[in-house]
Amino acid sequence: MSVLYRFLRRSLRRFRPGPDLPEPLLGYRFWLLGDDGLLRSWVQDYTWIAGPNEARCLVAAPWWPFRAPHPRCSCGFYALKRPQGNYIRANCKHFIVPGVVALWGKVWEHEEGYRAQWAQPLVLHGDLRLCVDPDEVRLCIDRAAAIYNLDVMAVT
Amino acid sequence: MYIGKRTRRLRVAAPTRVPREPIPNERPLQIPAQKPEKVPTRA
Repeated sequence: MSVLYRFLRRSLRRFRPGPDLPEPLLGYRFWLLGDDGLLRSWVQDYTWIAGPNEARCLVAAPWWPFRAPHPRCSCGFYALKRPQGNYIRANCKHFIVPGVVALWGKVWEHEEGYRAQWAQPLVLHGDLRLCVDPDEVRLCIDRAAAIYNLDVMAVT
Repeated sequence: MYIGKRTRRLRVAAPTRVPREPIPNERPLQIPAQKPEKVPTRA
């Protein structure tokens, strides 16, 4: 019974009339900022591109037929719902720059954040007073803003 | 980044493209004029 129920629920999910949310979600995350102004993931070997980024599972084989984020995997673009915890502590130290990201597509909501299929960086912000070398970080932030067409809200 | 336990799945619409403002010196779009329909006339 439960198997049939799950099968029917999954089948009917495809025929829902529209998306659950009409606009992209906003999340908070941080990037590893390079000297070249490119934003990189601080966990995975991934460099963000300008514009929308589509998530792919780095664990599954390329031929495996599912799209990230999978419910039982940890893949997808991560972002926090609120700026809290490590997001505050990692503020511009060692070129880790916090920012706001737009998330859309297939999104798994978690207790404190999201895992999304599509993501695009929108804003970089940080407290440059906490940096060891604020001028250099500011230069890299400006480079990243030019590459990714970002708004910068940095406290100097 | 720890984001807690999974709660629910959402389907979120993609961002809509904002129409950009026209540039002042930009040439307007040339729309070819439609040919007038041929009306049969008596000789």
